[in-house]
Parts: sequence; structure tokens; C-alpha cells
Amino acid sequence: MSGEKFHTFKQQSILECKKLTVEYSSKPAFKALDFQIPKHKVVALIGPSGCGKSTLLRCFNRMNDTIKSAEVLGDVFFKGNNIYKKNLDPTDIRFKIGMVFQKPNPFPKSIFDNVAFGPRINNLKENLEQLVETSLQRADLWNEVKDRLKDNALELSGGQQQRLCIARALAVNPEVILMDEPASALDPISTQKIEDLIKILSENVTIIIVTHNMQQAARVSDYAACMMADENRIGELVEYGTNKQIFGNPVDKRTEDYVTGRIG
Amino acid sequence: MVHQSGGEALSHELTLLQADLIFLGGLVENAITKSLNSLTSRNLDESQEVIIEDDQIDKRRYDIEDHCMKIIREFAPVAGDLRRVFSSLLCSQELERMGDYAVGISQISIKMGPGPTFKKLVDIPKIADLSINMMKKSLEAVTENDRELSLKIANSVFPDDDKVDELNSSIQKEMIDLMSKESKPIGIRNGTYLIWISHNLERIADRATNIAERAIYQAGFEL
Repeated sequence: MSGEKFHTFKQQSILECKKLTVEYSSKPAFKALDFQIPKHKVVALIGPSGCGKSTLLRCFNRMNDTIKSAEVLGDVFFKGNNIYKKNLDPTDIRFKIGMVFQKPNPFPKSIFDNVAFGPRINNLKENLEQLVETSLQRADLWNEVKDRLKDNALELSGGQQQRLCIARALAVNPEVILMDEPASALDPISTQKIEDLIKILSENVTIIIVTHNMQQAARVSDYAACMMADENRIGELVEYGTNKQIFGNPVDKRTEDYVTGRIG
Repeated sequence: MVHQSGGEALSHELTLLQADLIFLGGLVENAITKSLNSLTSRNLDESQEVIIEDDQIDKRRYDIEDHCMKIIREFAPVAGDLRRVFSSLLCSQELERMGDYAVGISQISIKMGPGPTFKKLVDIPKIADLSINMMKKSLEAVTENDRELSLKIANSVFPDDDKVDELNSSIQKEMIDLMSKESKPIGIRNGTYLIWISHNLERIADRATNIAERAIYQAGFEL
């Protein structure tokens, strides 16, 4: 097979991990890895359950800090700055590196207040209506909710709630959005909308997505990283390459076996 | 009823697809061989059979296309599986075109009439043997699951293509030379027919190299 097993990027990456690993109660979730995320691209993290994909994803915006038993070792650089430096407020990082979860989690507030929440905390009170509208437009939700911004967000459908969560993340002008299986709880039409949105957003925002849906990963990603768990259930990065390589002609047999459904 | 996992079901379909291709290859080999036999033996009934039986080859080719579409629809294959489906689709077209060349040879044979050929056939059977052998090897390469073996078999096809090209050129030169000395129009016509037959056999060899190239792509190697 042609191609490198671990792609190297010529352009500067927006996120870079060096010797990164996470231990849960001293047990590593995955082996230490070096990893780059290129700017304004969609990178999919794929692999069977339990290989550490979501744990790795959470490293990028310090969401593992919220898990008591988790200890992050190694470094993560965002635009050259180490986000795990002591005394750095992780909340600041999470404005720049937002997250969308598998289960939509809008606040029990109005649609408007959901989107306005982040800007208000950041004291961005000027042009709030315009900011909310722009964010909802970017999330492809504006036309569906423009006449009911005061309605409770929980009255929206699942697909709409997820796009509202994306709008909420966009409202604070992030540079990266992390998505942990964003469409797995949604119907096919809502899933298609989310996938279309990912492609459009990635022109201005870097996206890292964890997904179990191989065809989805093949449809939306520019690059994909395949992780596997070894016999001790410790994850490792097996291959990292372009969409064409991972889904067309993978270098590592484990990647081939996983994307073709032979394992995992 | 044993429930197959998605991966097992796809593997099964790919095995069936391989079998389809092998069967089509068998029909095409038969058609080429028969067209040559009928040419050398001047058995025009056999030539007619090749023409009639071409419908079966066409039907098989479209069956393979349908099968490939079904696999794509149901399984959305990727990586090696996708390369195999894509290659099978293209190879079925190459094989069907080889069948058309066999029909061409038979049609020419019928046009030549029941008498002996313009000259004793020496090089045409040689080019036929090479082309048929290339066809069989290329099909073996594209239906082989072992990547390295597939590559080895595919690479063995290409040198024969050079021999076929040389033989074809030689036949053309010889026919042109003989026709230039021929006084009767029928002689010139029959010489031209033999040039066409050689051309069809050379095209069969070209299609075989295309299949061999597909086998290399399918196995994940670069040409």
C-alpha cells in the first residue's frame, strides 16, 4: 500500500499534542501520542468503542479536567500555546475550542438565551440580537426559529436542539469545535443537515469529530485518525491520514479491517 | 438461519462477485477460442454460434453491473472492498468488449466465405494464443485475494503485450506486401480481413493489460 502511516502536515497546525496520554486511576486510556490537527479542516477520530477516542477529544479543551479520576499527561498546544500550563483558566480555552455532545444539551432557557449565554458571560452585550441571528444562521437554524426565539429550547426537535447547541458554540466565535458523535441520536434527515453544516463550518472553523459511522466519517472528513485498543484495552493511534488514504487505501491492516467492518 | 454480520455479508457478496467475473471470463475465453477455431477450420456455423452467444456475454456484464450497484447501495463499501467492486465493474466492461472482438472475428470469417483463407494462418494463431493467455492471466490476477500474488500475476501480463504488438505489426506488413502483389480484388479484400482479425486480437490483448492494471490498483499498489 502506498502512503504514510502517520501523515505529517506541512502547514502549521492549530492544535498539536506531544506525548499526550490520559490515565484514569493510573490506568492509561491510550498510549502516549503525538498528533497534529490542521487548521480549517475536518478530522475524524474513528475506532471501536473503548479505544480512547472521546478521551482524546476531551483533551483538546480540557474537558477531562471535569473527571476526577482522569489525569492528563503530556502537552496540548493551541496555536503554539500549551493549554495545560499551570494557572490557565480552562473556561477561556473552551470559548475558543467549543464542544458539541452526542445528546443535545440545550439549556432550559429560551432559544435566544441559549445562544446569547456565552456572549453574555464574555460581556459581549453589544449587537447581541445580530450575534444570535448570525449564529443561528451559521447553524442553519435561523429560518426555523426566527419567529419564536422566546420559546423554550426544549420544545425543539432533537435535530433542531443539536443545531442550537452548535449555534451556541458558534456564538463565542470559536476557532475549533469538537463534536462527539453529534448525529448518532438523530434521524437521517437531521443527520444529513448536521453533516452539511460540518462541511460549511469547516471553511472557517476547525472541526474534530468522533463518529462510529464509517460512511459519515468518509463523507465529512478531510483527514481521519484510526485508533484501536490493544489486548490490555489501552488505545493507540494506528493510522492517521487523508480521507482518500484511510477510506480508499489504508496502510495498516487494522485500519482496513476496521473501516471495512471486519473488526470492531 | 445463521445471521451474518455486516462484514460477513459483504465478504460473501464479494465472493459471489468474483465468481460472476470468473464465469464471464469463461464465456469470453470460449467465444475467442471458438471464433479462432471457426476461422482456421472454416466452420462458418461455429462462427454464427459465436455471434448468437454474444448476448449471454452482454447479459452477464449487465448482471455484474447490477450486482456492483447492489453492493454499493447496501454496504457503502470502502477501502479494499470499494476497490474490488470498482475494479469488477470496469473489468466486466473490458471482458464484454473482448467478447465483441470475438464476434468481429466471426463476422469477418463469415464474410470471407467458406473457402480457404487468403494465406495459411501462421502468425494469427500465435497472436491468438498470446492474447487468450493474457486474458486468462489478467482475470486470475483480478480475482486473486492475495495481494502480492495478484501483483505478481498482473505484472506477468505486460511483457506479452509487447510480443502481441510486434506480431500484429508483422502481420500487417506481410499482408500489405502480399496484397500489393495481388491482382484480384477479392485477394485484397481477404488480406484486409486478416489485418482486421489481427487487429481484433491485438485489442483483446490491450483489454487484458487494462484488467491487469485494475488488478494492481485493486491490490492497493501503484502502477
